[in-house]
Amino acid sequence: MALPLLESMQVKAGVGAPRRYFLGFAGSSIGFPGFEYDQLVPDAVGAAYDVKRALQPLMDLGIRDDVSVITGMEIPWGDAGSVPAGGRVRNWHAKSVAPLISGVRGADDGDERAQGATSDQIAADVLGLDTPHRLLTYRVQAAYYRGSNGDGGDRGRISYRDEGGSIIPVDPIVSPRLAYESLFTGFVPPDPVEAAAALAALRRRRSAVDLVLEDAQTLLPKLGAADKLRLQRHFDELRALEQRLDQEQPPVTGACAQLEHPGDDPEIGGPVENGDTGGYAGGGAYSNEQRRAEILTDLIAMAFTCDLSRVASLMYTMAQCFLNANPLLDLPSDMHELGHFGVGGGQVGLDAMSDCVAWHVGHFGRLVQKLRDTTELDGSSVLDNSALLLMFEGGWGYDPESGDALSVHSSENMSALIAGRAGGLNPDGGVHVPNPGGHPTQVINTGLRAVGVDHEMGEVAGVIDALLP
Amino acid sequence: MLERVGASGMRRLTAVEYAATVRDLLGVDVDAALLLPEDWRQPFDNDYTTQVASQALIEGAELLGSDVAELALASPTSRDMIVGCVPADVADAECFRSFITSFGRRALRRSLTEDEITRYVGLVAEATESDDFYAAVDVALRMFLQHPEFLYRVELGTPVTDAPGVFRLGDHEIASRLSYFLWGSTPSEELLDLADAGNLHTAEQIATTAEAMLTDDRARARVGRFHALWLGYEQLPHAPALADAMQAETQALIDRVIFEQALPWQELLRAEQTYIDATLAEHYGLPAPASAGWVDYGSSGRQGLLSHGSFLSAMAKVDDSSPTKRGILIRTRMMCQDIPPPPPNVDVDNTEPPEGVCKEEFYRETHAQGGCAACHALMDPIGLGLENYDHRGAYRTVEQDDPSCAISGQGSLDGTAFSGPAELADLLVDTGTLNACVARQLYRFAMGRSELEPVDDAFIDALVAQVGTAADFDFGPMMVQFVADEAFSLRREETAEEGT
Repeated sequence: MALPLLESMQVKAGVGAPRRYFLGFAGSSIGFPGFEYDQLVPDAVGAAYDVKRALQPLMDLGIRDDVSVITGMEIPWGDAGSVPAGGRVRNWHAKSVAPLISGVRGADDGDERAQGATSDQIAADVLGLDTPHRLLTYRVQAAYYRGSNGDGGDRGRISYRDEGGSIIPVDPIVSPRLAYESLFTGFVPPDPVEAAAALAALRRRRSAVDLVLEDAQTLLPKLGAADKLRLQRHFDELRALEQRLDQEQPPVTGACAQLEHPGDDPEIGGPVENGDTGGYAGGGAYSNEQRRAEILTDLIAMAFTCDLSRVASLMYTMAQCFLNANPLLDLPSDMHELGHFGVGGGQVGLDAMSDCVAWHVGHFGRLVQKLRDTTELDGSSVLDNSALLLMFEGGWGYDPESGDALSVHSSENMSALIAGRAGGLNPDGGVHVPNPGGHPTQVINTGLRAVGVDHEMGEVAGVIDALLP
Repeated sequence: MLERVGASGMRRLTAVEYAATVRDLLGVDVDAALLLPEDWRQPFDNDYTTQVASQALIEGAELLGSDVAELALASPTSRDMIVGCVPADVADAECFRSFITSFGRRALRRSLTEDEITRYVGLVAEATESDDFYAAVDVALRMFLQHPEFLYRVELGTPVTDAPGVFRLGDHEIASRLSYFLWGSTPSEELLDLADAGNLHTAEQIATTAEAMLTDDRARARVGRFHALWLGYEQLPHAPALADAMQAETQALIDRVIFEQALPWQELLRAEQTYIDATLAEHYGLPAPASAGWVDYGSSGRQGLLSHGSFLSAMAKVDDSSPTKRGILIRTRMMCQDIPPPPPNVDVDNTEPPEGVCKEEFYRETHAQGGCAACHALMDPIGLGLENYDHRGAYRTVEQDDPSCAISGQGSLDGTAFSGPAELADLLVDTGTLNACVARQLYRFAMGRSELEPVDDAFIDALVAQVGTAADFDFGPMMVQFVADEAFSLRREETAEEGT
């Protein structure tokens, strides 16, 4: 049972500001076919690193010195039956995601599900016990966009929990409107008339949920074993909603405030083809992901500020991202195709690819910036008490599937970003740290340790020592 | 009969089923996909083994319920129809009880118990609290719309003697199985009346009911959706006008063959006319009708559903057709054969011919060599026989990436040569495997489960035995035979492992 928020805040006041953990994911590699470099990795090592095209938003947002870049990492690969610890199978698409987010080697049969619990769930088990929301699990990209050709499924998830040894996928909230309504459930406006209406709405929601819970409990014993498990999960989530409805509202003090309602969700875009709609190319589509990313970023920032949640995972784009880049970057293709000569090869192709990476970095950077500029009750910034990570699906280099030496279908040369100062993280500020041959999940281990979660992910040991005190 | 009773578990309404259900219950249109978790296509969107409850589902369903309730109560006409009585005062418990009893039966797809009615009627307190009778109705609607027996199709049944783990469904549970299979929506008042009266459990009762249900427009939409998901054209990667025209073309053929003229299902593959508008006529190079209507294919080389833009767009690459993927589509979806996944050292994205090499030459001579050749021999020759039709179904004689490369359009299926969709359609009909494959796909769709077991095969075999393995069959009667099988009215309980 969660503590009432006010009590939670009092506890917080006694022990200092709480620590927050954020995991961002970009369904993108960072290089381009034929190139032996990318436009993300700085030349200089250490502080005041040089910023190239893919990291330009860090400079534009004035946060380079708050964000460390870890480079040169790789996820090992193997064939079925010989996939190494923390590794992936030889085939490329979406196969690096499972070991990246869980630290456990991917399934031999090509199943793309994580085979171990993910860091957001692990962090939430430690940090999320006293907040209304144990964990926020969001996704920006509204749908897979590959139409009847696609099998979105696990390519749209980065959160998995361990349920007694079974690894259960957790669907993200994709609707910004739903995310808002869920987060600000307990807020009551100061205006007396509006407050009365809000309290009445809350009372009605409670009445409905209470009855449903009673009925679910009555139904459970009547079910067979498998259905009982399914309904129990439903029941547990319903109980969590009931508890959130019973929470006292947070003290709207300092920087904590109810955000403006984002309005109706942008419509989910349909697949379009080249030339038919303003220069789209490929099968990709667009559902105003720019706006969706802004809203979800604002919500996570305010959730951390108001202590509504201390853990969040945000999938910006799905693995093998088919998000159409035309409305975002004026590039006539979707992000997946842009990684495969969508606007041609050479420097033009690399620039387009780098701009897609930068789009993710920009939204991640905006979260970093907001938290840096938000003051806690004790005078520190929220960023001072956070670990924020951005992981990428791939890097560039050898592709064992095709045999190509310089491919974007590669888990070599992988990079990650980490920001925040929780637990002394980033003691030297934002730095560039090469971690040659290291596993990118070591960055996740580092983030977890920084927020006080004593856990190493699956089969991946070790942290980035230079980023911890 | 017990040997063909398949396993079944709780099935959450898909976003499409949810929207259809609230439309039928309340006359409200919502886009449920905005708030509910995305439904996987396997290829059908209702595989319950992929559904996992989450915060996203619970809170999405709550918000969706609130949206639906607001829309339903927005106008006096609508709310009077939903409530069914006019309250005498702000907390008219009798009127509220009447609403709870009638709407609860529709929403939960069974009659409520007296205890349930009493508990739900307690919500009338909200009317007093808010000084608004319809505030209590609003709470009740929200409650029903997030109730597990609304969101899921829960089947209990009664144990069958001497058959451990097998349960006989009650009449109301059969009503739900029928309505979601044949309509993709909730049972109607009439269907529930039959169940209330205990008139929906014998094979004859179920068959008669199903025949009547198939005359409803909802059945046309449902059968259309089955074909669209099965054959991969539910979502098309084209501009809306072209995609809509293609889907209208295929739906019109399904309506004509299965519902209007009661022709054998095979006529979907043999049709010599098609329903097109000016957009599609131009796209196909056919004479444009004055308005959307049926036109003869003539000597165009087209015939039936396999020459529709919808089907020819399925499983295409981003900007061109893929002979391999078209072969997979035919083998796996229409012949129900398994194709092994590509070996782990094959780059399945790198299928472009080298500079100066024609696509057809590349696929015939160098695309799949060595260990890949055996499997590709099952796929590529089929796709090459459809190469005169591009990834949008438009006719072409030369390759789009290199106009100097002529397309022969020559393909083969299991050693028999063909060229174009008409000859392929005739060949498929002649294989004698279509009936069993259609039955198998229909079973997956009906049961909401893509992975099948031997008991499922037994059911499918029994169905095929009735319609014949090779002769033409009628799709509507096949659906009736499907539901009239006693095994359709039974369920086999899953183990705990199957719930994970």
